Amino acid sequence: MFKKSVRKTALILVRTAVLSAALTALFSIAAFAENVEKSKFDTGPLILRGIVCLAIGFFIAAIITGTMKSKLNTVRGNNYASEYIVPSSFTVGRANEVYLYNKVDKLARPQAREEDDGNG
Amino acid sequence: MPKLSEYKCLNCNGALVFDSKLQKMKCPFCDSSFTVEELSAPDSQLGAGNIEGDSWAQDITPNTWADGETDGLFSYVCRSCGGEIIGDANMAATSCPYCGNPVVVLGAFTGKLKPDYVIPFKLSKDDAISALSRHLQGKRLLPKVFKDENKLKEIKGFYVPFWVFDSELYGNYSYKTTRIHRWSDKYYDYTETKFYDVFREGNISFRSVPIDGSEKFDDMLMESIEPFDFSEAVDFKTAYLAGYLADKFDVNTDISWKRAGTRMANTTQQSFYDTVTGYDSVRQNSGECTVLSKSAKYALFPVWMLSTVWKDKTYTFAMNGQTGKFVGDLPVDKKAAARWLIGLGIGIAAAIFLITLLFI
Repeated sequence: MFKKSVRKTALILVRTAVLSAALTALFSIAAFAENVEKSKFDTGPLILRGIVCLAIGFFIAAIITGTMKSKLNTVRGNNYASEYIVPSSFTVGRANEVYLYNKVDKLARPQAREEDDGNG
Repeated sequence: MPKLSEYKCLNCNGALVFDSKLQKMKCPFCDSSFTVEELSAPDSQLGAGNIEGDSWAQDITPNTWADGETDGLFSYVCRSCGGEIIGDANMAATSCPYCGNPVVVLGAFTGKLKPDYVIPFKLSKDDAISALSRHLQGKRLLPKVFKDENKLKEIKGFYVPFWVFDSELYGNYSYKTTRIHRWSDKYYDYTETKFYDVFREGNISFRSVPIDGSEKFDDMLMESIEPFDFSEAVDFKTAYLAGYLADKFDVNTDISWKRAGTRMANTTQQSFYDTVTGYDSVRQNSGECTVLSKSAKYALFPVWMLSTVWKDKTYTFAMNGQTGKFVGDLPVDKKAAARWLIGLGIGIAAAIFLITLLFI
């Protein structure tokens, strides 16, 4: 009985905390919006930003959902026998490297343009 | 008629079964228990090649069977109730469908058919049922009604025949590798790439690589429940089979060796590859893997097989009867998957959108 009431109280506290955080975030966004550059909210860039965010969001969601799906399939063949290696039986008798050649690529660094003194 | 073996309690003559918790033969009627060694008398006949009076049972040819329908079927008579037990040529242990007494077909283990080892069951039927419940938990995309509506159709403890291979392999591999060094001066960024040939050669040994020796059991399912701990294997005695089902092998060593050889070769290749370190890129150029020695043993490994039915589809699960590893494919709730995808997608997109508005 006591455990149940403690659990209920904890749930209420968590919900209150989440609601407070959400309200705080909303007020912060509203206050910030007052000072933000107006050009950010032009329709064109906003729609483009939304589409890109949706694409990234669904890509991440697909990875997460795919991982959840893979947990349902546990029958998998085993193409290896690493669990059956006799301990200390793996011996490398020959291990050497032979240097062949090298190749050097160079890329010019962007140089800062010197300001010309005006002559006229 | 072929010889069937039933293990009877020395006190009350009830049918004994092998108890996985006690690792002894136990009488379910009077609770007496006996070691396997105390009940090994029938095994003394296995090595002789033939049990006196034993022959494979005659084919069943009643008038009602069509031609060819009874090919491969054999009948046995239960010693306890006289009921007829029908089985195929590979059946080695079963229970009488009339009185439930566990029986062992001694003819399945005579001569060359006698297994070298057996890993006794360590986990019981209740453990398998509990493992199934745990397997269904925590799966967010599993249809909620699956847990409630699926019916455990059957659960059987099988001793699955395995070929167990020991082998020593020799590997010889060469690789193309590079090392990259970068530096800069005032005007250029430099990238130096050095190219090498790398060689690795050596030996590796494998012990007790198990390959399923029965066509009845899906190879992928049996590989999924590995590994089996062969250090717990004991010399074969028919008493271990009492209370369980068993088949003898119907896949020979040559076919099984192909699979074992492939797995060992893959591991050898990977092991040598893992020794090539200290480079920025590594690519195998050539390699060969030679078998120096190989041997095979015939063993029976414990597997609990469960099947459930849901929406007229049978789902098969398997549990390693020694380690408890549980596998089995489950259905996907497509609507739940779509809800998760859309919900997560929109949620993550909204969070990214807000963050970009605030900070970019």
